[in-house]
Amino acid sequence: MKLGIVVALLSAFFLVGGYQLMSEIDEQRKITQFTLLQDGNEWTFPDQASELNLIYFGYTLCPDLCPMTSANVSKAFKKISLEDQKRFNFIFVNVDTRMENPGEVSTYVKQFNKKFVGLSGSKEQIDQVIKKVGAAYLIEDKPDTTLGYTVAHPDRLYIINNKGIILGSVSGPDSYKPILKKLKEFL
Amino acid sequence: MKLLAVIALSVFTFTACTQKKAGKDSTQFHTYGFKVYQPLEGSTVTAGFGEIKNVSDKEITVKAISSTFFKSVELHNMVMENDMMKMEKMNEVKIAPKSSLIMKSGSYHMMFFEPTKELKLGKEVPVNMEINGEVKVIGFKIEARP
Repeated sequence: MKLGIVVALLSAFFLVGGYQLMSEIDEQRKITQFTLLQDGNEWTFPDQASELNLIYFGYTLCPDLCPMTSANVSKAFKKISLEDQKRFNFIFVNVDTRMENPGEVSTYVKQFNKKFVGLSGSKEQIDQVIKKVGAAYLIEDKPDTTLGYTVAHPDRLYIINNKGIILGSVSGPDSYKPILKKLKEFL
Repeated sequence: MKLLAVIALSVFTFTACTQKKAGKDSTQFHTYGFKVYQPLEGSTVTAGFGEIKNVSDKEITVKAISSTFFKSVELHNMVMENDMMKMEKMNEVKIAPKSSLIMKSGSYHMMFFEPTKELKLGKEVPVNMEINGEVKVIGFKIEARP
């Protein structure tokens, strides 16, 4: 009898604990609704997102990795059919909260593909979104430089569906090929 | 007479050696493939790439100084820290003997801030770079982003 009660209690304990753990895991793998700005207007995930979204955290004063990644995503898109392209989109989130005109990110990304989305927001908004993805960025003062600061950001494309589930990522894409390979996994 | 000949020969030899050394200094490095991309709309910065090869037997130093086509220029390197990429301004870069400084995407590169003149494709941007204490003008060919 006593053994039965102990077993029952232990089972209940692990069931509850296990459920909580699974909930935490589910929470970490998903990003919930967020709102940033596109051309000064609110842009909300997942309402305005595509079925599959490639999200990149960068900044427009980045001379190398950010334009290269944006260009490579554009090249990868061109390698799949127009019908398949409709399922995807590229979302460039500007993490440079110090720049004077952060909204220029929309103009910036549309040079690579008119469909691409460039988003900006306050530091609090950007922090919230990047944290949900499990990434980070850092702005450090550098008074001996022209810009006066430096921006460290992930060199990674995060693939997130319109349910907020992070399906994978592509690290440091120095050509369109690894991006295309990832896109094809979903076709 | 013989003494004069010896003195003359010594002076000639000394002069010849000195000039030979100066010739070596003027051919310490070679440059290859310098290019700068036109800035994108919505951005006032751009990157430049190329190679400086140290063909000498001694270490040389490279610094980015200025360009009349931009408000400022800097030499940068890309570093990965805590899963984040960031650029580090390099006040100078040392090139070991018989080695190269290769400026390419994802690595060392030149960063150009705020164009002050029109950047026409195919033209060159003159950039003042200090190489081993001497200011040299290196031409960066203007190209469209790939």
